[in-house]
Amino acid sequence: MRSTFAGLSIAQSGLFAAQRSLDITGHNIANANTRGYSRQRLNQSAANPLNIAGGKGQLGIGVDMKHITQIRDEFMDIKYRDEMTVLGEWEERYMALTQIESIFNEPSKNGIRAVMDRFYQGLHDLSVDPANPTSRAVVLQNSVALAQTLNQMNNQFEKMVLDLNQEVEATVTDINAIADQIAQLNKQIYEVEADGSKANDLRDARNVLIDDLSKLIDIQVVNVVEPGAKFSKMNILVQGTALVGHDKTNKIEMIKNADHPLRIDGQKLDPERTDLSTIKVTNIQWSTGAPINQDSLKGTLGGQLDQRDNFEGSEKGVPYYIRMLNEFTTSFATEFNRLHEKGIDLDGAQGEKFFNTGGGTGVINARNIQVNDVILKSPSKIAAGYSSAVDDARNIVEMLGIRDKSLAVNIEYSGTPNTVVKLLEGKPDDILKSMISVLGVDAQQAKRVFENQTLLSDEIDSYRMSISGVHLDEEMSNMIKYQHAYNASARMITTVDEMIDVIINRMGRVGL
Amino acid sequence: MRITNSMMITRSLRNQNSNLGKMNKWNHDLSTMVNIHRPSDDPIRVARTLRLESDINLNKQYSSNMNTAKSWLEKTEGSLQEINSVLQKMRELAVAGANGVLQTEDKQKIETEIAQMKEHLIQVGNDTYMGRHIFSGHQSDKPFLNKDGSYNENLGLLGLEYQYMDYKVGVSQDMTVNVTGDRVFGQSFKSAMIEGKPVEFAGDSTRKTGFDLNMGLTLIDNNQDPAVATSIPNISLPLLDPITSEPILYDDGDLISVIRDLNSQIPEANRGQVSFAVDKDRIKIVTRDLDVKIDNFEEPNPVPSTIPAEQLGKLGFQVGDTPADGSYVEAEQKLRPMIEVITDLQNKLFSGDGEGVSAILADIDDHITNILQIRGEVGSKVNTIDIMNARMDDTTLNLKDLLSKTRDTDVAETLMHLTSSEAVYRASLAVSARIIQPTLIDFLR
Repeated sequence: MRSTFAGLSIAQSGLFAAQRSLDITGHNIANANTRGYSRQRLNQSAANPLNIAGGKGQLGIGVDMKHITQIRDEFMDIKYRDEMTVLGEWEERYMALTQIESIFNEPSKNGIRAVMDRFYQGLHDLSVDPANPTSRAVVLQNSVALAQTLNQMNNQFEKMVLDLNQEVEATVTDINAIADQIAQLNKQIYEVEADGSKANDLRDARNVLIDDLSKLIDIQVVNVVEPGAKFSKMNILVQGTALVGHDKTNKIEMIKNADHPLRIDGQKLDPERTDLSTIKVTNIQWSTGAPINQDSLKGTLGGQLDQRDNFEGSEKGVPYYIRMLNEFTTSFATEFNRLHEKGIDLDGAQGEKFFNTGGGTGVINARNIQVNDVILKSPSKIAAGYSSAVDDARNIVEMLGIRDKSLAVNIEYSGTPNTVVKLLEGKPDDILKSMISVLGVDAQQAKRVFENQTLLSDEIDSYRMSISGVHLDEEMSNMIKYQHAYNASARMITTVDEMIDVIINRMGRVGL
Repeated sequence: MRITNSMMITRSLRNQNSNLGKMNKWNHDLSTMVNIHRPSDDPIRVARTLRLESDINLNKQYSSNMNTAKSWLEKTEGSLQEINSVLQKMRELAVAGANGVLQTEDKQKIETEIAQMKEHLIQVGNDTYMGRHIFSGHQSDKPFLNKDGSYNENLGLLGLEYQYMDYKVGVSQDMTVNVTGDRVFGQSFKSAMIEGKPVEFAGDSTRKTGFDLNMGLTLIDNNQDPAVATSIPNISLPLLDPITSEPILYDDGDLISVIRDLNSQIPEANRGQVSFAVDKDRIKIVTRDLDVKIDNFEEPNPVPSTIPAEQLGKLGFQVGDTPADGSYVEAEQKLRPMIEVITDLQNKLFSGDGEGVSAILADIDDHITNILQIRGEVGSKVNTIDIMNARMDDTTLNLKDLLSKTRDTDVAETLMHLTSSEAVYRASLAVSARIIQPTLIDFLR
């Protein structure tokens, strides 16, 4: 037997359901442009019906508002995050290589190639009139220009390393901050969901954070169900170690003022080497002290570390060019000096070193190369010939031959057996060209992969939005739907009200 | 697939950005007239561009050197021409002077004329080009002839003819532009010459070579009576440095360093008498007024473990085509100095010695022949330069053409691209405007 007011409660449930659906629609429309928002729907089902005795069937008693769910495809999220990690890494690589291209400034009239051409031209002009003070002055000026160009390029590369280091520190700070926020959200979500409901908006917020984090570093999101627990807890792992463990974070710690890997490698060759000796970088480890494998990191952080640290391999960065430039300068200057020292200057003295380290001792490299001060002050000290005769230019002709000499750029590691790594071999012009070609190929590849990856990530994001994005037209139609449902339920209440009114107020009034 | 507003807007924005990017590139190409700006645009073309630009610059430099060389050679030719006409005139006068019919006073008049021509020759011998004496070898700041016609001893006359001034006029192409005074006017002393052609010392720029050589020289002065012999016993190029026991290696082809070491072992007192000199790819032992022989020449061929066998060089000395066998090489004077001949002529004319004058004609003829030969050499070098210069111009033109093809923007093509991408951009803007605006809201009451 149905209760008196059962009709009311049926209509009421419909009313409430329509009301709630309208609220949710309003919420969707308001959040149409919120980043990472997944559209929400009310899951409703028919309420458990009453059994009518005598096998007459079941009587429905209205609608049951089950859950407010969000429409989201978690697999798309995983795919998206994987691609974002790759994108982050290649974006960093592309930007760094583009900057290196600017430092080389080739092809142009002012790049290193043009400077070297002018250096040789000066020597040619000197070879046909070796005693001419103008020709000598021009040679010295061109040599100073060459030394300064090399100095400057090296400085710019070193500055890039420092800038990348700062970016690494900023990225690590970012990662730690996001991890903290995720941990907090994890706690809140767990508490809210303890009674079985879904914390939709909190989850959306957390998903946005995880998206951002996945671009910065390669992560693995793992949902762990502890034995005996009903709900899972979220862990975010980096290289197998938890960055976020439910509501706790294991931060990444920075170790500042460490030696740069190129310096460490240089020290292995010869403790006197000064590669990047003044550049200090920041390394990272877990705050528990456990090490992080910086080489195999991906994402923006991995890309930045590669570009800052790697001097060899397929993911080489700025240090490769620093090393190549320095080794080239050393070979070139050493050979040029050797030839100059074979000659005799205008005063009859044996030639001194033409290039030196500017007062310092040790190996000449791109950082410290300078024209010998003594020669700069007295141009007559250019050892043009093999005698002090004014028209003896035989040594200049020899020195011009350096253009056709094969310089070997080798790195020799001591040990048993000695390993020699041949960085490059060839004429000076060819060595420079080869450096630029390697750069060109790497940069071209980075650009291609970056552009493709951007397209790919955008496509996946598009697909995500197609599933969970808010479509205003759709919400409009739904709004009309729910409005009609509300009106109908309200009308139903009016009807039931009138019916009950008949029973209460107009039944049993016979004779009144 | 469900499409939402934000998807359409995002896609629309992305396309506009990509269109703008393309227009940006065409714009950049047109405003700079080159279509590769960075190594990453096209690494292979960039590498080619760098190579071509360097080559073009190098060719320009070679052209410039060739022009300088030509100037110097033409100046030399002019001076030689002067000398030739003076010698011809002198010959005529000598023929006239040998004539037994002329009176002694007439002969004396001819002698005065010849004296003036001799002054002129001395001036020509000290001719300069841009302030540098063309016949003085490397010390072009010093004149070749003294006022009295003798040679300037400050020039280091022993081996003067080997003081070449070489200009680079092409890859591996050096041209000697000078002629030294001792070739033009004759050497003022007798000289003996032994030549050494190094073996296993070819000028491969990556190799280094050592020598294991020991020899002595004996000089004999036959002008004195009795003849005086001087011996220089130990001239050596050891394989190992006596102090450090490291091998002493020379760059392949670096004969200058080799003779520097050899010359440093000649005692101070003998340095003006005998010297080692470099003539292109050979070593020459030259003497001044002395006969010379090589003693105790040892070039053992050990196989030291310190350097591989192919890094051991040899200096095989020879006289003419036969190896030096320890016998004396006589000093000889190929050509009597010109000024000496002329002074002799003057004297004979002054004294009226007709027969003596006749005899000198042979010497004058020798000099005329010598000058003609040198003029021939110089002339053919000038011709060679003209040919090389023309070829260099052609090559440079080809290179510039190739450079242009490699990197220059084709204006017509790029303008077309720019125009069409502008059209695409406008279309995308128009479409975006149409699809972004209307929603269902506009149509509901």
